[in-house]
Amino acid sequence: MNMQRNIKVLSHDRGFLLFNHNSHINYSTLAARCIEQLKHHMPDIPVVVAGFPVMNADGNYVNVKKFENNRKVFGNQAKPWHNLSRVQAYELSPFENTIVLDTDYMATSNALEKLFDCDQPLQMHRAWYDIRNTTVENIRMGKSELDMFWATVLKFRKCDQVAKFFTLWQSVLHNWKYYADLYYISKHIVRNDFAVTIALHQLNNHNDCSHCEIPWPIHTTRDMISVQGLTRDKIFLFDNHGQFTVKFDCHILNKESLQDAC
Amino acid sequence: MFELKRNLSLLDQRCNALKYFVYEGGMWCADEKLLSYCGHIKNNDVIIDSNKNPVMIKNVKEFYNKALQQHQLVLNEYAEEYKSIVT
Repeated sequence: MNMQRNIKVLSHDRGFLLFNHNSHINYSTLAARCIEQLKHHMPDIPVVVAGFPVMNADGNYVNVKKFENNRKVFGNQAKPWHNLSRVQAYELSPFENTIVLDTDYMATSNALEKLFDCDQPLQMHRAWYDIRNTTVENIRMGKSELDMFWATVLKFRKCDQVAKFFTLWQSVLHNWKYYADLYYISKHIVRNDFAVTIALHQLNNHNDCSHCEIPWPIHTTRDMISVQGLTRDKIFLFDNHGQFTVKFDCHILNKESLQDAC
Repeated sequence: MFELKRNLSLLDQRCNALKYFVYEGGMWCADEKLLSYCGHIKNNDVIIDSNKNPVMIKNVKEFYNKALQQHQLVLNEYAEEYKSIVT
């Protein structure tokens, strides 16, 4: 990694940060397409990748701790899930304002640019739009009364409050079994969505966190919806009702079909 | 019928996300309520944005124009797409 050059190029006040670790899914393919989409719609905003390098990124950080021992059920099999590096986003990001994105989030518009313009230092989605059932709702975290925040799109500005949030997030990951018991969530799968939700509530002294919410829902396709194709501004999807097209930014859970479509 | 309903819901979602705009670091939904509210505020009034942050509106006319422009943009998109869905 050429750190010297990257830091020069990326002395920018805003940018995207993606984490890329290949597993049974070739996440590099997804990341490359995610970057392509971002660069088409927001050409002035740099994108850096942490983890396995991706050619079309503006910078790559390879010295990222991978966290090997988390697993998730994909289909009907438990497979390695390298999702925990994102807690390092604050220290890794070269930007003042960063949006950390999952590589399975495909931008088909410049909607995310609004988050950079907004002064709110920390923002995440809370409501989700289920594309299959056409419903908008919040997800409760375990058996608690807390609404889950999604770590899929995480915008932050570097400041003391946000640094504290990342410290709390790290602490939740280190003490996962304790928090899993406390909130009645699975001890066996460490989910960033839950970890950021707990950290955010701690940051706000367990008060209302709605000021940290991205005001529109995250548009998400479930596993049973497959991706048939992808253009710069459209995603072609398929489920048991047939083919349909979406023209908004989309978080795609069926990664296998997304990989094929990329 | 299912397809029609789904396509209209997808359109509605798309337009809902598009309605948001940023002014002086605050974020608002350019809906009918905000446009109407603009008629009741004056320069340098403080109003609350979507994230519950107080933001001073230095120039109400500019703010209103931005909101209206965003609102119209979304409605035009909606009308165009609606036509293609129902015909």
